[in-house]
Amino acid sequence: MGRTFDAEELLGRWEDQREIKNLMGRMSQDYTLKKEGGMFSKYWSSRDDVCLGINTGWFTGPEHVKEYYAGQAERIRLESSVIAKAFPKNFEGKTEEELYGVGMMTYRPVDTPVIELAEDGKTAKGLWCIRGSYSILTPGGPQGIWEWGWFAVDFIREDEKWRIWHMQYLREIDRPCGNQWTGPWHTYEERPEFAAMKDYQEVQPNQPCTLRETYSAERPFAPSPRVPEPYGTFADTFSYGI
Amino acid sequence: MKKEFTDEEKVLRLWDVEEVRKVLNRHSYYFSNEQREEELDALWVKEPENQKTAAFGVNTGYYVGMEEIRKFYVDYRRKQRMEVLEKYHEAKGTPLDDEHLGLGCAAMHTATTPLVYIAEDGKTAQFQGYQAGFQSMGKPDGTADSFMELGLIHCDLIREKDGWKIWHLELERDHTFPVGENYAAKEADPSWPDPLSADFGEPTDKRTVYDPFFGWEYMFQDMPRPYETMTDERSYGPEGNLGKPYYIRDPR
Repeated sequence: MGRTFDAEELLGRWEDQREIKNLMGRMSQDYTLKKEGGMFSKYWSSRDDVCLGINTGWFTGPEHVKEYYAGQAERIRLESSVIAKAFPKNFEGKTEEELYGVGMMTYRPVDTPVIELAEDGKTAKGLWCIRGSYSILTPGGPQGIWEWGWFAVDFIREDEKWRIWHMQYLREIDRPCGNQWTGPWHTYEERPEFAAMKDYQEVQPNQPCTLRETYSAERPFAPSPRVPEPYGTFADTFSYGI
Repeated sequence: MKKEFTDEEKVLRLWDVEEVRKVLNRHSYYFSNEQREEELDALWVKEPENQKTAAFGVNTGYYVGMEEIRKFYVDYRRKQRMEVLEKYHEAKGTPLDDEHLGLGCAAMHTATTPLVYIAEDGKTAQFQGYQAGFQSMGKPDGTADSFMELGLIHCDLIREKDGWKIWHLELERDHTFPVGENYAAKEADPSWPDPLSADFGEPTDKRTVYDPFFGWEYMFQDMPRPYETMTDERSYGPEGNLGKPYYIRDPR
């Protein structure tokens, strides 16, 4: 990093950073609003080389990244319908749309941003901590989960807007609330009204690998994703993509 | 009197605020990743005069000067981490080396809710943030001692040749609570001893920098506010007022 920017250029770069922060803030809010189904079109680049990494591997290319979000939406739809059937008196007369996301709570707030904008202004990189919680419907009923992790993102400017190009969404702690962070995962005894969740399968990465093990007492020390450093063009820096 | 800034000066100050936030956020990642030596080299003051007056504060006092800070922040921490590894060594024969250091350990430290002011003279800046984080220390039987941590961050930064640098940093622990234990079942203890108080080490300048039992007494007074230039009284370093209750600072 060697280039010096004048005040007008710095103001433009400040606005770029603000837009990137707002993008991540909106995405975080969309998790709470159960809008996972619209995230790809809303936030992602139209490039063919987009990719999303989660702890268990990579979704590469637009079709696979879309499949990931479609899988999230499908789970919300299924959980909503199972909850509505389990508590018919509470939800009588509600449409599928009205019931979408019922009984769920996802808070995935982002903080501690380190954002670096390329000197050429074409790309940017950012790292955020996630310190949240979410709920899932298990065959034993709803369960609250503590979630600590990171979003590590490469952004690209497309049609004068910032879009996600590569993203790693990695969990460090992903354990049921009220329980220790080691040992067997706490489960509730199965209940017939939630049995439909037994057969539910998450959409799996098309390139499975252990991108990150979640925390355990046997795991070697594992730092966060690399922190962005100032850079000139994307070719000069590392990628959060595969 | 409040200084008037030109539009250009305002833009530069706006950018300074972003840079100050970024320094503290970078600190949070270095701190979590146990890259403490790298942090001191990359983010802390380099000019000899500033190195002499640099300070790292914990609830129980200050480490003053970069040499003392390094002994605490790097060497003492390494000793703490080695003690965790020794338990694995005794139980499983895990080698006591750098490759295995940190086995079964994890930490995340954040810097949320930033408040930043740049001095009117542009030479220093003050930051206050809130740290919500955790630490977990594994044990060879597969269990772990895991704790959520909450606390304040105060920092004075000073502008050096290559940008904003940490000059005085205070990590003031408010509350540490074990993961997965029932709060309601715990016996009330007004002193609320911090289960991770060993993290404070033995400060070279021992004093109360922060007493979480009376945190509300200093919170208001220590918030950064618009200011002209750094003074001893305003400083978050040992010459300042951190840790002094309002009735001592401003007797009635």
